[in-house]
Amino acid sequence: MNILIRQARVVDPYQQLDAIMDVHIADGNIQAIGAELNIPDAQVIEAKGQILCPNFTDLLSYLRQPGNSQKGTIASETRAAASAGFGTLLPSPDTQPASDSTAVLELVQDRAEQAGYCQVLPIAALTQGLQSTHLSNMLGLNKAGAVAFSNAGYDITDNTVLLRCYEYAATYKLKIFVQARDAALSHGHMHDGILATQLGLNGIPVIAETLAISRHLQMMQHTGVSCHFQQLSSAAGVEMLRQAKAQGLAISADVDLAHLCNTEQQVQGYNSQYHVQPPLRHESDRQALIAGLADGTIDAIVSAHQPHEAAAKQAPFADTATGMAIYDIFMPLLLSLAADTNLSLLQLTAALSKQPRSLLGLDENGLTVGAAANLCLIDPNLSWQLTSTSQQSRGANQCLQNSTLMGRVMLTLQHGKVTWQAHD
Amino acid sequence: MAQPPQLPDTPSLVADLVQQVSQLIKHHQIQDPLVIGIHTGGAWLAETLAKTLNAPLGKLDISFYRDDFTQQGLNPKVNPSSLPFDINNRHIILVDDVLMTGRTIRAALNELFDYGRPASIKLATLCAINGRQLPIQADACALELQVTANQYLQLEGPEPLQLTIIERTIDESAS
Amino acid sequence: MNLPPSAQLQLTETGELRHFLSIDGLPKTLLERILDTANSFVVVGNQEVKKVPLLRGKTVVNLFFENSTRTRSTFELAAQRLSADVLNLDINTSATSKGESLLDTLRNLRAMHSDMFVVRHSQSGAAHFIAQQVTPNVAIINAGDGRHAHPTQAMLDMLTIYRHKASFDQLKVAIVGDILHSRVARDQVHALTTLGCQDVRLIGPNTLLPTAAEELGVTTYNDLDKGLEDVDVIIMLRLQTERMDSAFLPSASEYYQAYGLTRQRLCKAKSDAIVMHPGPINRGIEIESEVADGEQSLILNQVGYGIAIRMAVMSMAMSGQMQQRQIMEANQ
Repeated sequence: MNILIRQARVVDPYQQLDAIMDVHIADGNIQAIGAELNIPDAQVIEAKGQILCPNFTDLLSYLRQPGNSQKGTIASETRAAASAGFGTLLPSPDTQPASDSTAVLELVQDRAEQAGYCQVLPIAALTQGLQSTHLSNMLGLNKAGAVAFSNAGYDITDNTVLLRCYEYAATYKLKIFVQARDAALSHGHMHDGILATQLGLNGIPVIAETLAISRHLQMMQHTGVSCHFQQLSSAAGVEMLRQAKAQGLAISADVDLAHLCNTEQQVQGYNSQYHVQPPLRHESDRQALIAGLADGTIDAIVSAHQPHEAAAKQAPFADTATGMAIYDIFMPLLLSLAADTNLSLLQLTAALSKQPRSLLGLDENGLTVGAAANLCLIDPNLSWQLTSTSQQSRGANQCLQNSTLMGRVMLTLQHGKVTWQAHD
Repeated sequence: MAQPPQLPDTPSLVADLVQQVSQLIKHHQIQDPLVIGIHTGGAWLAETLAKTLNAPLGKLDISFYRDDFTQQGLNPKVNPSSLPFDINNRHIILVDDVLMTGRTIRAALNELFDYGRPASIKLATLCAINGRQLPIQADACALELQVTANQYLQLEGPEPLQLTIIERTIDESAS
Repeated sequence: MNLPPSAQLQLTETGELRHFLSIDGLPKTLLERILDTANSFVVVGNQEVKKVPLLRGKTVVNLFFENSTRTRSTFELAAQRLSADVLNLDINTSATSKGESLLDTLRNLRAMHSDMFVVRHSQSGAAHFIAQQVTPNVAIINAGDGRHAHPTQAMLDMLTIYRHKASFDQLKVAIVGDILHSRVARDQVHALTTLGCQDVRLIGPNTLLPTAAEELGVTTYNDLDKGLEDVDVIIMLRLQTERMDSAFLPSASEYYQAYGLTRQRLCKAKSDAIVMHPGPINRGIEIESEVADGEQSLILNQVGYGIAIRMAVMSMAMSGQMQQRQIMEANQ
């Protein structure tokens, strides 16, 4: 490999860099970055108008294997992730069986390695079978590669069990990922507001999130565990974490891209593609999530990619499965977010690379000379159609199927290897 | 544009129709006829006929029996049919203002047979124009007329009754 | 045509009714036409011959995923009076949960070449879903979906008001009881506000009032006596006894104390106020027997109006559906 990417807009949050540059990559490493490079025998990629940035790290993704390969496989979904610019993924432990054994963790990592698209760092189940009754073998799972522990979308309602989880994790300084939602108050299907009233769907009130956040904050204060909150959805939730951070608690948080781009209004007409947990909320909540990302209350953007087979979404709304396959539209949505808000590309790429990696203590993956090339090249002006042939994910739950989209990842490199290249 | 043909004055047409119906009854030796008019023009004429013949009066609204409701939609304000008598084995004089396609009469016959089985039905219309689509003819008719494709006749009323030729704009379709 | 999304699926390109899923978003003129047409059918219902041939040769399938003999019977009678062929399918949901999905059920039904489905389902949006799946060939009439909508029931209440009261814009209307779980109440609110009613009141305890209800253009009251003051129309809703099991209410007797309609409370309303209830009545829980059977009660009239409304909606939707088919064939 010997390529010269010319005149790209290089956006690197590690160096706070946003400038037009040439980048030379050879033998899997970044050889040189400069305003104008002259490398005689390199293959030249003319990248004028394109964006070059570190590849992304996804703190929440559902790869469906083992157990649900009709929805997606590790191979199909890591490929889809690479096509969206990702190099590192943390798959949810919500598999069948759950990721609560070294056997499952090894299977996930082996399959990912065979596929060769992304580095996969599993999140292991916090309780056995995600059943919220018995602790999982955290120490062994950690040694088998689990970088964090989570009970996925299942609320541990028994405070004794939850306290033991925190105490045990604190013993070994393990990281806990929390999807903060109160089980009993989350039985609904969309944000609890006027639209839920009109559509006659059970609402999920904001306190389903804030009650759970306050409970977990007290648990972590009591035990000293470092805690990461996933998929925030409400303005009130963001405000609680802002105050907790101001008090100096060792917490971090993420938001999924769908919540930054959409509101409950998408559910109009019972559009089951937008049936997600936590629910899409009010426009004021969306604005608060954007503000939280801007002021650093929220550290990372995740995909929360959840592929499904077509039938899972073809039923009356409440009977449909929750979740959205988002990798195929991730880049167009991200670029529209950059265009429609005050969030800069530097801030957005930081929330997708530097910040998620640093909260996990992972290697830096900035565009530094001598380092392995972990990057992606984006054409923000390329217009293309999402169809069943152009989509990479196996998920049939594509909310923008057959739409014309703007912006596409042209090239993804992971550890110096090409993991995605757009053809056409 | 061709000048519309001159129509005889309406009162004399009505008088002629009454005359023809009386003869019809006499000729066929019809006993105790019922006079039933189709909304709205036919119902006005039926009132005059019933009075002259001293016969019971009924009214039909055939909106629910039309065969074109899937094209035209339903007229929301339907005047109820009122047949305040048993029509089984009775002789009926069915009255309408203008006979053209014959579809209105077909619908009226269908509706009448939902009420019972009359002994006979005679059709009286004030006027018959060209454009028949069904094998239906009037037994009594005061005026037969040829009109062009964009002309139709309309009876205005009830007081006074006035038959007029309407020139329609080209786009309107025949009903 | 510029229509709210809730109405687009229900209307043809020329604005005719082709499915009847919810009142939400339908234009006032269309609601008035439904009422006028139903009024004509009320007269037909009083005639010796109650049957008209409008839907002769058409097949109507009553597709009931949730038991409701009363509602099904009125739809069945309405279809028969329009001369349609009627097929009743009671699909209990346990059978569909045994593997056959709703979509598979629909695919099987599609093979029958029916012209209209009357759908009752326990999930909100089910009729919507079916209309999206079977369009463009079959007209869908919503006979109740979850807590979302029950538009024919709401329109029969409008017909009752239309026949017994002056124009809607002068009326004060109170809807009392379990608004939260009521599919009828939502459509009643949409219908009343669309028809011009300025003062619609929802009365109940906070546990039974839906979130942000005021944004529907109504006023909410917890106090029945206050809410009934000076109203022209009182619509009582049915209270399901399972509400007590899921902690919405402490007991039926406490509910009756606070929200039961008694003669004494009825005096707060205008002296010529009318009282309505979708039935079946829980006497002594929602309403005192003397009020239910009293002069101001129109509860029994409502049953006859229900058939007329269903005849009107079925014939209008069938007409719209046929027109849509012709438009589509012409475009091909």
